This record gives sequence, C-alpha cells and structure tokens, in this order.
Amino acid sequence: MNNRNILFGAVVLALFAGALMAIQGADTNNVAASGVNQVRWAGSSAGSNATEGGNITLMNLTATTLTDRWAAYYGNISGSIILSTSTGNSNIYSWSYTLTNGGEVCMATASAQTFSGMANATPSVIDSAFGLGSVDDNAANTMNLSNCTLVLSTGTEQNTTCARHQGNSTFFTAVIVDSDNTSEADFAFCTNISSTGRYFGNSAAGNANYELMVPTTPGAGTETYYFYAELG
Amino acid sequence: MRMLQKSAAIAFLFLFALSYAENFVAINSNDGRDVFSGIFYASVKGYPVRFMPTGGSSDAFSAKVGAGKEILLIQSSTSAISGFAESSLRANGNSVEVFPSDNAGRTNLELAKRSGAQQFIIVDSAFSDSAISVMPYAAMTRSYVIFADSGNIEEVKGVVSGKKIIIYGFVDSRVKSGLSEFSPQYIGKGEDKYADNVEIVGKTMDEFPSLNRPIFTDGTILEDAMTSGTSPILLTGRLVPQVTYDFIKQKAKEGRLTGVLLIGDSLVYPAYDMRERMKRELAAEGVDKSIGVMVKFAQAIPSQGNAVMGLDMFLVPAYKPKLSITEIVYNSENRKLMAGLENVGEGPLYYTIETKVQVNAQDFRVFGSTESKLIERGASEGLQYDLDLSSVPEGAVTSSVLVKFGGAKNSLEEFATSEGKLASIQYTDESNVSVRYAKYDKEKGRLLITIKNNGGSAAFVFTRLTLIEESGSEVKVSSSGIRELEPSSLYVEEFPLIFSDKELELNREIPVSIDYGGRRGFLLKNAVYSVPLEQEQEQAQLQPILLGAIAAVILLAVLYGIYKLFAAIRKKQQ
Repeated sequence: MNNRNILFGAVVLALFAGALMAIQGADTNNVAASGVNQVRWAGSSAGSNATEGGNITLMNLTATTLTDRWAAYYGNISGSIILSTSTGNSNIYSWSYTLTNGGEVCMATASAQTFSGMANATPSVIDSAFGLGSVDDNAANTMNLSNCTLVLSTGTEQNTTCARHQGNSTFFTAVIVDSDNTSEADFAFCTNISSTGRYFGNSAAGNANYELMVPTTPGAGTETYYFYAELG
Repeated sequence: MRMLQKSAAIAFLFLFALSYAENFVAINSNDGRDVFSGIFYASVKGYPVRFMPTGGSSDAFSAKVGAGKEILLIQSSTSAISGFAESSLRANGNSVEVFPSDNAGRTNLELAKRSGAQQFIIVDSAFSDSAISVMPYAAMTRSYVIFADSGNIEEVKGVVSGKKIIIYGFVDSRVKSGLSEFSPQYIGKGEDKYADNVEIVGKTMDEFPSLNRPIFTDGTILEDAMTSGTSPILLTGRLVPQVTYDFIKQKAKEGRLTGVLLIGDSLVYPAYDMRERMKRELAAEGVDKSIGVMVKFAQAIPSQGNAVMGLDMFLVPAYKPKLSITEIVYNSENRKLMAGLENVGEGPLYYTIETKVQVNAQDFRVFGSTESKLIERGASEGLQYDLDLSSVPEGAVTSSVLVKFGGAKNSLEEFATSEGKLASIQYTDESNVSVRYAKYDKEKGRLLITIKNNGGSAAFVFTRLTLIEESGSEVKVSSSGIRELEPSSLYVEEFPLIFSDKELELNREIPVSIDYGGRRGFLLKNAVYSVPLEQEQEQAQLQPILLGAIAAVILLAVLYGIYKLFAAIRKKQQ
C-alpha cells in the first residue's frame, strides 16, 4: 500500500514537472502590434551629412602670421553648379555666381555676426578691444587710412577705416563695427572680392580673390575668427 | 574617528558642490540630445556654451573654450566624442565639474530641473528639426526645451508642473493630453515642419525685432552660430519650400528681414536663387528690396598657428527624404512612356514630376503632374504616359525628368533629375505572384509572409498588411522595400511585430496586399489575399509538452522499475 502511494506521488510529480517545462516557453510580452516607422534619433550616433550637388567651393585659403598682433589670410572664391544627376537643368536653379558679381569676404570673432547695423570703426577702439597697446603695430598705426569703400548688401560703407596691404597686394582690410562698439566680437574685418586681385607675395593678377588682416591679442589671445562671404 | 572623517568628507563635497560657481557649459557627446540639452541649459543660465564637433579633437576644443573658466562638462558615459576632453580642459587652466550622461533622455530632464527654468518648450523626442527650430526662441526667453514622448510624459509633467509651457510642432497625442491640464500654448500644427518653423521664426522676430537675419539651414547640423540665439533659424532643403519663400519675401518686403546667414556652402545656390527670384518679383510689384546672403565658411585660431579649419559642426541625424528615378523608357509595345520612381529614404515622401521628350533637341511632348502624390517608404511608383514615337527615329529622341519631392505634401524641398537618350523596349507585364502563407513566430516576434512567383521570369513585389490592434483599430504595415523574386521561387517577407494574445485572436485572418510587376519601378498589378495566420510558436510550444510527457513516461518507468525491485526484495525477504 505504501509503495502504491509513493508511485502515485511520483506520477503526480512527473506530470507537474512536464507541465512546468511546457509553460516555460510562453512569452509574456504584451506589446501592441505596431508597424509605424518613426525616424528616431534616440541613442543614435551623430549622422552623416553627405553633400549633394549645387556646391560652391569657398575653402581655398592660406594664412600668414605677420606679427604677434596681426594675422593675414588670402584665398580664392570659386562657384560652379555641380548637379548630381543632371547638367545645367534650368528648372532647378536659375542663378549662377561669377567673380564679376563681386561681394566681400569678412572675418569676425562673433560666431553669428549678422552684419546688420554695422558702421565705420575707430582704430583706438580696436586697440582697446584687442589689447594691442601703444606700439608701432597697433591698430592706430596700421588701420591708419579712411578712404576705403566696402560694398555690403546692407549698404555701401564709404570712407571706411582701413589698411591698404603692401607688397604686391591689391587689397585693403576695412573694419566695421556694430552698435555696441566695445568688445572683439563687435568688429568685422572685410575686403571686397576681386576677380583680378593679387596677394602680397605674388605679382600675377588673379592669384587671389581676397586678402585680409585681423588683429590678435598679443600673448594671451585665443580668438577664433570666422570667415564670412557675401557673394554679390 | 572613521565616522568623523567620512562626515567631514561628505560635508566638504556638499560645500564644494554649493560653492562651484559654473560659468561655462561644455558638451562632449555623440548623442544629439545631450548636445541640445547642454545648449538649452546654458541658455537658461545665461552661460556661453561649446560642444565637441563630430569627429573633433579635444585640443582644438579646449583651445576654443579658453582658460580660467568654471566649466560644467556634460559628457556621455557611453558615447563621448573624445576621452580627453576633461583633462584637456583642466590642462588649459579651467576647473571642471563633469555631468555624466548615461541616458540622454534622462539627462534632458535632469538638466531641466537643475536649470531652474520657469518656462518650458515641449518638442517630440523623435524630431531634431523641432529642437533646432525652437532653439533661438528658447534662448531669447530663457526657456528650457524638453524632449517628450509617451514614455516619459509622467516625469515631464512633474518637471513642468506650475510653469509656463509651449508645445511646438508634432508631439505624441499622449503628450498633448498629459499636458492639457497646464493650459499650454501651441505653436505649429505638427503637419508640416516648414510651416511650423516659419511660425516660430515669425513669433521670434515679432517679439525680438532686432533679430532680422535668420540662419538658413537644412536641419542636419549644429554649429556655434546656432547656439547663441541671436539669429532665428529657418529650415529649408535644396529647394526652398514655398511656405518658407513666402515668409521671407513678406518679411523682406516689410523691411523686417535684411538677409540670411548660411552655415557652410551646401545651400548657397538655393539661397541665391531665392534672392534673385524674390528681387524680380518684388520689383514687379514696384518694391525695390533685396536681401543679403552671407555664407559662414571657415574658421581660424591665429594663436594656434596659421591653419584654416572647417567649421565645427555636430551632425544631427535628421530625416531627409530620398528618391531614385529607376528608369525612363519608351515601350513600343503599348506606345507609352514609362517613368519609374522609388522611395529609397527612411520615411514617406510626396512628389511632383515633369517629363520632357525631345526630338532633335526640340520639345516633342511634356508630361507631368503639379499635384503632390505620396510614395510610401520603400515603395515605388510607375508612371505611364501615352506617346506615339512610331514615326520618329529612335536615336534622335531624348528625355529629361525633373522630380521635386519632400517629406510634406506642400513642401517639396528636394529634387532628382535624369536625362539622356530615350531607350525603347518591347514589354508586356506577364508577372504572376501570389501569397501562400502567413506565420507568426512568437519567440522571435516576427510575422512571416510567404510569397510565390508563379511566372517564368523574375518579378518584383511590395507587400502591405492590414492588422487589427487591441483597441480594434486598423493599422497598415508595409515591407521595408521592393523584393525581386526569381522565376518559380518562394520568398519569405519578414515583418518584425509583437502581437498580444488578444491581437492574435483579432488577426486570425490577415489581409495581405501585394503590388507586383515584371519591372522594378512598375508594380502595376495588385492582388489582395486573406491568409489564415498560423503560429510557429504553437509548434514550438508542443515541443516542451512532448518532452515533458516523454520525461514523465521515463520517470514512471524508472519508478515502476524501482517499485518492482522493492517488491522483489520484499518478496525475497518474506
């Protein structure tokens, strides 16, 4: 009788074990059916930005450090329509830029210089803002002309404070300032784009479309200058 | 003694945290949400902010940050851009408090609390376009921007409770309903990102009239100029959306917008084309107004040498529609011009098309549609136009196709073109495709649809399902793309889906719709099959039951053997 009880218990146990093993495979996930494709950025790495067609190359630049208070940059502007799948389809863009359209290149430490409400700058304020001091190569002794004309889309700036570059250069650097007129970020150093320009070290016409000089605070200066181009 | 030391250390750390007078925010993370959160935090606090650009170096980064600052460095614990940012900033003479971010969504909310903001702007966590659009307004109003979705709405409510809130653009319906008790202000309907964008830019320019030179961007990058808040941000594509164009023209006409600033050179042509068109149109109206287009294109740090560098850009993973013109041919069999289009992007798109057929460089026929049509993600569109070229020599015939497309019906901001000699084919679609089975694999959470090409030549197929959700509402699910089926072959289309038990009950029969045809871009045939849903899991579940039963039988046999053994021993003892 005892053995029979043991056997009955074992059978119950075995069947229970089998049932447990069967239950183990069940999925308790209760998420609703969903086929919506959302473009999520959650947790993803930065994406890529492949540039397609319609490019204009503005990056041809060369820099030269003149003194510990000035640096100079020159380069070319080129513009050409490069459509990825077609050539010159006038339905897309009707405008094209050539150097004879003009324009200007500016450098400023402001990361978002709006070039709105800019006016002629005073050399002594530049010396103060950039800490150039009373030395031979400060702004007062460098930006010592006031007969340059800068053609901006917001208006032509006549008789602008400027420096005419020397050597073979055909360019000038004119300086304009916003209404705050106190700190580095208020200034912009600009020149007009020229299709026949020369930089200081080369006498061949057309070797540079612009050349600019910008001040840097001697010693501790860590200015970041941004390049801006306004194509006419 | 040790207790005292521990208490002193805790007190020191507490006092240090209280006394740390941060005055600068730096961000080192590949996750765009960390970068945005850091920018929003800095805006509320009124601090300058710098972020590590994609692929940037810590040396250049610390040079731009400068020296002598007390920096809050928001740094991803799992995906920092550089491992040396902190040490480089310290070496440059800064003090640094690291804010580790192991979950960018949580970081967004933690910085929201830490900022002490009194005004919040809510955007959907899925769309970086929205975050970019509201960034200047947030900076000008010292508002913090929160990424909300259905998963974090309860926590968001805790953060914004009692504060002024604005909901911008598209957000999840559960976000809207969750925040309704706070009487939020709404900006944008969430139907067209460009329409929403001009609405927030207009509001920004109305409230801050000095901001009259917006930044013009396609929403795929973040650059220093965008973080300052001094320029509203207008979104565009390679074609300027009409709503954006109309906005700029109107503001220019009123003299309230004097120019736009481009970041990098990729949008130079659309911006200049817009300016010239606007100038002509305003002149025709007797208005002598134009706008300036300024391009920010490089940077230099003179104290670090004379190198000229590209701009520091953080690349944002934004949705850009993509379309391919798969073919343009003349079918002499039925005298039709065939143009095939395929959506190869990550979402739906709308398009218009213009197709020109030229004979000896002279326009012969022009076809097209000006009304935007939809192509689903992964789907194609085969267009056919009546064209009789029987009297024209083939070699002299050329075609050009211009397709304008975009993510919203009224904003076609991209284009694709194709032109060249028009090939002639003789084509009759004899494809024959059918749906055979539908199986649900519960273990792997996927629905498998088996399709057969019954024909003798290759066929192309695009599959759609109509499913019923727990709530009883229908949901359409499409395959991720067009499939090519070899002659007389089977193809199993896989849909990653998780059904609840109730949904399995509701979807016992699945309507499967297939578009198919003999050419990739021309799936002109359609068939709908109602297929019974089989469950692979059922078979899989049988296995453990079977194994359990076998184990039970074996166990019984063993127990029976033991019983017999005991019985034999007892008998022997007796």
